[in-house]
Amino acid sequence: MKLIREFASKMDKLYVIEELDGFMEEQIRAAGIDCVGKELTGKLYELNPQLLRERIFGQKQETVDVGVAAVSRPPALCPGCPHRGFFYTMSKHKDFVIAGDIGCYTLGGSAPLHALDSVVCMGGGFTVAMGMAKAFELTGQTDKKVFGVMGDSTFFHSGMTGAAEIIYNKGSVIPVALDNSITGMTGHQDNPGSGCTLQGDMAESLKIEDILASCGYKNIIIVDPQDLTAMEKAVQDALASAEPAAIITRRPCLLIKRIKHDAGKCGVDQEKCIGCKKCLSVGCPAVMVENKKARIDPNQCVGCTVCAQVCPKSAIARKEN
Amino acid sequence: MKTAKSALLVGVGGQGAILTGKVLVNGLMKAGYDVKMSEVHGMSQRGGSVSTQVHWGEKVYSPVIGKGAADIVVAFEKMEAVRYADYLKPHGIAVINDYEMASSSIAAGLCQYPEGCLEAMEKHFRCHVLKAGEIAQSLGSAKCMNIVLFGSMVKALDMDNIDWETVIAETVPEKFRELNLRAYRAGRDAVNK
Repeated sequence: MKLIREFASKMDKLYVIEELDGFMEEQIRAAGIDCVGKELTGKLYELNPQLLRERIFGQKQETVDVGVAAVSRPPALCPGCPHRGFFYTMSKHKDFVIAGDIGCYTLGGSAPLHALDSVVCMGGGFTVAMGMAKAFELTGQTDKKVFGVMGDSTFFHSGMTGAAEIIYNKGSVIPVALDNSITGMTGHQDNPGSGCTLQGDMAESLKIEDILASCGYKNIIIVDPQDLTAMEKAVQDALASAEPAAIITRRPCLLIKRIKHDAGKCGVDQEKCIGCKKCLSVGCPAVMVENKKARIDPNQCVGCTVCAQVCPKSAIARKEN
Repeated sequence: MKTAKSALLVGVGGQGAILTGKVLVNGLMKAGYDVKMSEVHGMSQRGGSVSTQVHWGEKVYSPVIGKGAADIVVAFEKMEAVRYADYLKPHGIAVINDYEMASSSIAAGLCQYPEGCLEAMEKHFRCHVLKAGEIAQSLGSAKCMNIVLFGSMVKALDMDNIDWETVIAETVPEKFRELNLRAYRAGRDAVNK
């Protein structure tokens, strides 16, 4: 602060330009130094020179409107993503209320899966679900089935407290850990489940099922989410369970370098396809409909067969490499 | 070069915009420029719209630019050119891949791919349009499409003071070296100047 005070004393007026909240500005004001900050630079958008020039000097940068609007291009779960089978299964049940969390699986909330009802913060998958379950309980709404969803690294980061909260305070929630063996969205960092530290040293890995068991979950169902029949059964078994139940979907992310994915590719039998678009409901970037028939882009498909499993005419099949 | 230059590389996650940015940055740094780069990833492996900004000059102060400030936009997909058009300076340069990728919302039938992307860009900017996908395919792999576009960018910007072939050879994996060099040359040839 001494440096700032000295600097400010030589200036007519001190301007503070900082991203996000006015943190420096607040400290500087609290130290009794007069300054101009967020009231001028604004709180919206990432700062850049053109935006600052406009906000400070009122000089608006000239831009061109080409008159054609691009439509949205939202990110989607990758072809072969293990989360797809889980979210497709959940999307079929309109009475499910699903609290989501931060990670690749947040994409389970977008079209066409629409299988998340909330995303608040890391750990919120379980705790928001708990809050909703308690609210339903208090208001006598018994027709809703509440699930809390988060990935393996989020579980280790801030999910364990929520898992304990659900069971200790008797919440009617099925916690679901989507274990793809890696921290996906942020770029494949190791986590306590992977057996390696961020520095690359070996470490004893933590097991999600052991932690859930130690909290008191008596019925822990581990399932391959890419097997849609098994996935549906896991959900129904958890809901029917007399003892506290939790689900772990377990299949590694395809982008992990040591994971091989040479399972082949799916193709569409044009004779059998009736153009019903059921395959589009899994939200896979490799699946599209052209000339009223399904088509699978061979450059993107990795042969996970989730689309094949939903086809009512068995028109999609995997060809082995 | 007194004033800094800014390039915006835009496309769809997975098309290789980030690697292209890396080639550009490596060459510019070798040539002694002050270089700053800023990229959007995370969404990049998941089919979303992505952008990489590269700024270079004698001295660059900001890692990001705002709307109306880019000298050149290199669009790996034509709808993405339109999406980022307001980042270009009026009469700026656009290198556009005449290539259409449906977004997930289009594939799901929720909206339509817009008509007239190329015409709209050509009306307002100095455009170089090429079918980089077809050029890359003819060279042996669709995956070198990004370096085809890079070649076009170098030609469009007259950046021949840098030995790009060496930079590319040093940046891409060895087994793809020859392919990428051919892609670079083909991209240059695709621009009439």
